[in-house]
Amino acid sequence: MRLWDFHGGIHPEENKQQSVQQALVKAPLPKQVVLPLQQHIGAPAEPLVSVGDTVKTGQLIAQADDFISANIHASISGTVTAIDERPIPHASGMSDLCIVIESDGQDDWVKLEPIADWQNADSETLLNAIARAGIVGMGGAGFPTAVKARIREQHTIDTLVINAAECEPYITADDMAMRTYPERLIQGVQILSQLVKPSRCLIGIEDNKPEAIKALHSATKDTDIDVVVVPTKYPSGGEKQLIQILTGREVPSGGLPADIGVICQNVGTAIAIAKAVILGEPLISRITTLTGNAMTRRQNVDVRLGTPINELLDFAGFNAALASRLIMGGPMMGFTLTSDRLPVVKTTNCLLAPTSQEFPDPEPESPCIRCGMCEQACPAELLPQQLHWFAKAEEFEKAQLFNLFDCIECGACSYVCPSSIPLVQYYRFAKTEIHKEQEEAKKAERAKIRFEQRQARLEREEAEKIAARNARMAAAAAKSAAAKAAAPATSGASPVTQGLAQGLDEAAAKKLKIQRAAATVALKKAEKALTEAALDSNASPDNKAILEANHKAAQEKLAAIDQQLNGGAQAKTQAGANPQPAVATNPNGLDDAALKKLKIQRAAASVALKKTEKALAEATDENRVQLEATFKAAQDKVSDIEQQLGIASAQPASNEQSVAAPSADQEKILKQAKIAAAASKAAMKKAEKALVHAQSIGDTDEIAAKEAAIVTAKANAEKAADKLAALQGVTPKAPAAASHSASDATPETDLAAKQEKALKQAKIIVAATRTALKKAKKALAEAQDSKDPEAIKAQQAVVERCKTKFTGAEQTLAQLTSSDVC
Amino acid sequence: MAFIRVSSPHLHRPLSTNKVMQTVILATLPGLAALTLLFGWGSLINVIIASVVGLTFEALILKIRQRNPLPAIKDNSALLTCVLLGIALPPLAPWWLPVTGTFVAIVIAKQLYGGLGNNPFNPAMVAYALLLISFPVEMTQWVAPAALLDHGLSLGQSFSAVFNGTLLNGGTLFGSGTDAFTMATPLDGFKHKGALMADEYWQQNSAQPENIWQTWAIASTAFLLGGLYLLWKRIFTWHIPVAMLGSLLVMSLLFYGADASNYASPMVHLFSGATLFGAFFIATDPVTAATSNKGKLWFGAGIGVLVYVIRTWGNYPDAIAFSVLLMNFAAPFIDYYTQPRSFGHSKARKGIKNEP
Repeated sequence: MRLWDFHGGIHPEENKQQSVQQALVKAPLPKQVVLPLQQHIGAPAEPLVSVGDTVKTGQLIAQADDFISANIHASISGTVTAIDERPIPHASGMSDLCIVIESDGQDDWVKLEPIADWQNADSETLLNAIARAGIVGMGGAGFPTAVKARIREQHTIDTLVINAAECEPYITADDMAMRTYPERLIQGVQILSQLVKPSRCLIGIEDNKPEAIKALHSATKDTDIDVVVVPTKYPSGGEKQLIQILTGREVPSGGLPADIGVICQNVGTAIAIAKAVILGEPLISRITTLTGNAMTRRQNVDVRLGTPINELLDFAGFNAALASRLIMGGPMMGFTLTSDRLPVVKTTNCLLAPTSQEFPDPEPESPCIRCGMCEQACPAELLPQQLHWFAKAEEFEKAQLFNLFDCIECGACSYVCPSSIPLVQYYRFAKTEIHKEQEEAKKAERAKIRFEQRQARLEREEAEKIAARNARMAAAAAKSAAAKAAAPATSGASPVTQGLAQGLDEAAAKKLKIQRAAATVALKKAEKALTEAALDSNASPDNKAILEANHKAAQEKLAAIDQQLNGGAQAKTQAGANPQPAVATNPNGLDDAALKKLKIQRAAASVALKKTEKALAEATDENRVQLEATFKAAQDKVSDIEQQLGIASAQPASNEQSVAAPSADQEKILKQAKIAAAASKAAMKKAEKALVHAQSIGDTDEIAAKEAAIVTAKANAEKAADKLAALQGVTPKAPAAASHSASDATPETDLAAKQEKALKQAKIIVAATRTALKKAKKALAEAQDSKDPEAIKAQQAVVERCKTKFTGAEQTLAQLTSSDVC
Repeated sequence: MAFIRVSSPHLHRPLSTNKVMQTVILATLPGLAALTLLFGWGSLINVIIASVVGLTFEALILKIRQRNPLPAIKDNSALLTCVLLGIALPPLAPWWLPVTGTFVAIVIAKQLYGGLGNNPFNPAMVAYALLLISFPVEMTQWVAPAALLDHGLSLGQSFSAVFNGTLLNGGTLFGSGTDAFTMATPLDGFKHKGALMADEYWQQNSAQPENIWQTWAIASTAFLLGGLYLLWKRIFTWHIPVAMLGSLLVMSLLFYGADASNYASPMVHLFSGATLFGAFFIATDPVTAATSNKGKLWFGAGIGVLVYVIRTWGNYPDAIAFSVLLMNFAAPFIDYYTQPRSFGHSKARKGIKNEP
């Protein structure tokens, strides 16, 4: 059979003889095992046992948590004593969640479920058996085998390659496995063949394992499996390299062997598959090479997963004083362990304890002389010395351009480097930095999108606010214009009838007015204090009472002054020497003032109302009742004032003369009405949006509420539109006094009424959701009392749902409150 | 118990930089021996002076740069530079020539650029070129092959000639009567033959018969042997020497074939002067050469062409130094455009820009 060669490669001393002198033995059963939940590439497994549970050997104790994940089984029988973070064998020396089992010494197995007729089993049955057994690639990477074996679902595979090269020096685990269980291996290969259905099946093995080759030859005699002996050269056991040697095909950069129709599995993996399918035995042990001159009994052992490494080292006659380091894996790609209190995991193919004569401490790094020996050794055909310069200068972009990510970290470059530069370490550094940069770029991109969305939202809100403010200002301007329009009527009349008495009267009136203004201010202050007290939940009730008294007093005073003022005006009217139009105009003027006052009062009350509403929205249950009372009072006050306002504005309406500049007024009113229409439209839109949101959430209560809100908003909008149409119809006929006065009051009162209605509705929803939340919380407390984890979980979910509903309702209320036009 | 943390790989080939340099120095020995045999003690004296002074400079400059000079001295790189410079200089050159050259090579061309691995130009060749431009007379007077002299110079006489400029018997090496001891190299002579035809030139120079270059050829062959040893030891790859000699051969064949009476034969080009020494010991300096295999081919070929061009139409009889220095300039550029096709890629990347 034709073999291909790959570029580069090295021939380090093999040192494999030391560990193949003795037959494969079982390591003694450990007293305790530590089983990390992640011994594979992918998501960590989800534990199924809790502390105190008794488990049997082979029992599933942690389940694959994702598509790419693997099951973990108890490797001894005993009791789960802990599920916590423990140091795991990893290049970084990190800790991870592990299940700790204390042995009962029985090694009591669960009942195994072999597939008796595996030759005729369908793919799904076999794949399930492999997945159930928690098998991962045992050559080193630990990729879940079931996932890899499913590859045929997306790719056509014509070649199944079994990687028996074992090119790393010192390691003989696969060699011994092949010598000891050649039939088992062939069964595993046959199962894989059944799954992958390749046209040929190759076992690639380096020519430095004559005994294993012999065993394989006799085991494959009656099969169509080819044992292909390849020349010994590191790293021919690299997946990509072995595939090239056997098939001449190159796995594309960044691709998978499946892309070129090849699937590659390790010897240990194939044996584990055979055990899982034919014996039903999950992956609870593996063959590990114990070697290095710091051990006296260098050999291969069949060891239970999770066995503490120090127990294995003791078994191998390890002499710590002689060891220069402790390596998991081979001398080329293995990583050093900083402690021996670590468990054996699914990918532990070798524990290497060399002496300092074998592996002296690394020479200090000297400058790169660009000798190019690394380039001659690189199996990926990279320019290692250039990559080194780039990594050193942190020119990561250039490193990527020079295909840094095609580096398989085999270490051939470092091996040949005469300057003892730890090249692989440089590449690892560069790769990590690039990954970090990419992560950060992704994060920055996400943050940018978030920021832009936020800016857009803020702008939208700002625009809405400005629109609302403009509307309010327009309304205020319209009101003051109306007041001014009324005022000239008074002043227009006075010059005609001005007398001394009248002058004195006017002075008195002025004084009264000043007093009244002062009283109004006092009242306002009292109101403010009162609302603040209402907002401040800490305020004592006594304090509040005093404030309320103050407020009342201020109100009474104001009323008294107003009475006086009115009385004075009446007197003046009576005392008027000339029955001139002033008779009509004077009270009219006073009425205007009263109107103005009322309007101001109304505005203040509205503000107070708004504040209380806000407080209500933010309030906790304790002070809610109180606040609601305040709110009600404020509302009542507003409606009172509005009633007064309605009466007051109706009065001047009777006086046709007071309408001085009707058309200008009319326009203002029209504007107001338009704004009201726009506002109600906006409110409707908002409600619709909220509805859509509610629908997307799928909350029926919410949907109903929102629908109601929309109906209200629609009604509002329609009404406002009607009004607008009416006004527009009226405007051209200008001086219709009645319509003027009526329209002066109605849009506002109407709007306020509608908003109040919406507000009320929203409040009802808030109250309802609050009750629901309370109930849910109570249920949760009960569930917690009963200590039923599932019930607690369910109740927690209910509480969460109620909470979101409640906050949603509160938000609606707040929205309605803020959209309320003063 | 705790163990130390070491990053993989844990195995290293026992071939360190100082071993590499040491091997190259060893490989120069046949050539140096041949030079000594053919031209007397001059080259050996050059090498010794350059080495002693060079290592001193290296240590001094590292002290000034506040680095530990010991590792740098031990890595043999300075020693190699000095040996190569010593070999390149004419035998029996006055002592200040190697001293100046060593200063330029070690201090200016190597350490001022940051020391080993950071120099863009071949230090020995920078020194050689500078000396050639500054002291053309001393740099172009080669001792006549010992075979042509009635009596060879003894070691004592050689030292005297180097340090005093006088021979023991009172005569001077340079100046009046020096023709007895020094002569132009065949390349130099041939270059300045003027309007003479090639065969006329060889005839007219009885002192420099046509086969004089064969003397040089012996030395060249010795260097070739050393180079082959290095190839066998895999200190460098075949690419640069083969490309350089190949392009020089092609160039000289083309012109010699077209006009044999005015152009030197390929044998003269390949085996006289510093061609083989340059091909195996100068152009292959990894620090200043191109790095990829393809790049090395371009680099070597460029040197070969330049050598021929400068020898034939330039002002200098030999051109290894200038050619190598010119290609040193081009090496980074060549590197960017000769990246190998990496495993799993359909084609090699050219240049350093992102492909659109």
